[in-house]
Amino acid sequence: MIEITKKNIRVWSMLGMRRILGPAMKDIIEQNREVLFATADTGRYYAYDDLLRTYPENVVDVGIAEQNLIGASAGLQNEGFNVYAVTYATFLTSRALEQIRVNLGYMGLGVKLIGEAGGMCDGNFSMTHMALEDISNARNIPNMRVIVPADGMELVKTLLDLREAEYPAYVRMTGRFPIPAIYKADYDFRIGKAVTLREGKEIAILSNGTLLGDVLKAAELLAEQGVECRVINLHTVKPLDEEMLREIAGYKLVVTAEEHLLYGGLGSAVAEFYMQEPVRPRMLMLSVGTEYLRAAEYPDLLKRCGLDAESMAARITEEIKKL
Amino acid sequence: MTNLEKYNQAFIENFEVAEEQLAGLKYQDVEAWDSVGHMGLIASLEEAFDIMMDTDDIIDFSSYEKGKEILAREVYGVEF
Repeated sequence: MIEITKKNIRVWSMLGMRRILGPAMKDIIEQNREVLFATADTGRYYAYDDLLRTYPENVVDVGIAEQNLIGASAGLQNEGFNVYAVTYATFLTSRALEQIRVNLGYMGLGVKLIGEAGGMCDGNFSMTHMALEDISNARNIPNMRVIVPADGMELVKTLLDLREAEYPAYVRMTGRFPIPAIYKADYDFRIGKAVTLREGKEIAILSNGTLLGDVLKAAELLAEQGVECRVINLHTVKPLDEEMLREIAGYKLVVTAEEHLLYGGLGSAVAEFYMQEPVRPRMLMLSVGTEYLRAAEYPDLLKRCGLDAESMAARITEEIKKL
Repeated sequence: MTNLEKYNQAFIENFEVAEEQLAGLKYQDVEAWDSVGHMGLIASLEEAFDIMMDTDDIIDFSSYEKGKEILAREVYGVEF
């Protein structure tokens, strides 16, 4: 049984999200034998050897065929299994979008999609392996929940919570290894409920995934200048935590920061919500931008997009001057 | 417990090996010492010695002996 301990939090941080997946799924399958782990030839990335050895009948590998992954997963789900289907985030949500749309969105089959390499962490393989529109694509599918865990522990909690879900979900894994442990101890996690990581007032930064590590550093830099920002982990992009968004609606500035193209992701989701509200804050949307990027190492890509801590702090400082 | 005992205990607990197996033990010599088990070992050693290991050292930590050599460095200051 998975335990949330100080040791495991550290281990998960060192492993990175991909290599947490195999061991976590083995534990889940041990307790829930109807759960299947389906992949498209990417199983070896998830440290799943022990799972494969112990429960081979619970692992389905369709080969490099992501559209077939969705079709097969949907069929198995329909037959009473509880399927977690995992592969590259961009191949899942772009290449197999029609299958997701029909089998999961329209037919409502509760397959749990797990996308690895969300954002730019595999950007050294070029933009073909960057998932920059995945949130936008997934968010627009009716019935689909969209969750972007902040760290290893939050990924584990998401996987556990989804065991009982009858709805389809897309879980975006981000970062390489090691990843920051955003949470140092256990906490109350609920899909759809945002978590305040750092208290502040008048200015809030909403983000999710491993980018939160850089966002928290940016908040530290701003605090050194006397600006205390509230940092909120908006791990669930759909459904949004509307109660929290209304709570900060009166703030002078709400910043969204995401490893995603400008249109359709976290920032767009928050902006769409506020546009229908009587009270809405000024917003600053930090993102990858509106162009695809050339291949580069992950830290360089973050810098190029202005998503490193220093750049985000500078951009927010500039925006504050306009208030 | 001496530092050596703490060090050995981390291997014994994480990999379920006997003390007699430790000399010469290398990464992947036993099934439990895979990439996931390795991080478990590192986390145990960090807790035992109240240190935080650098990623390069975590990757270089390829054997029982190499690990002692790394932890004995000034930055970690573990005396065996």
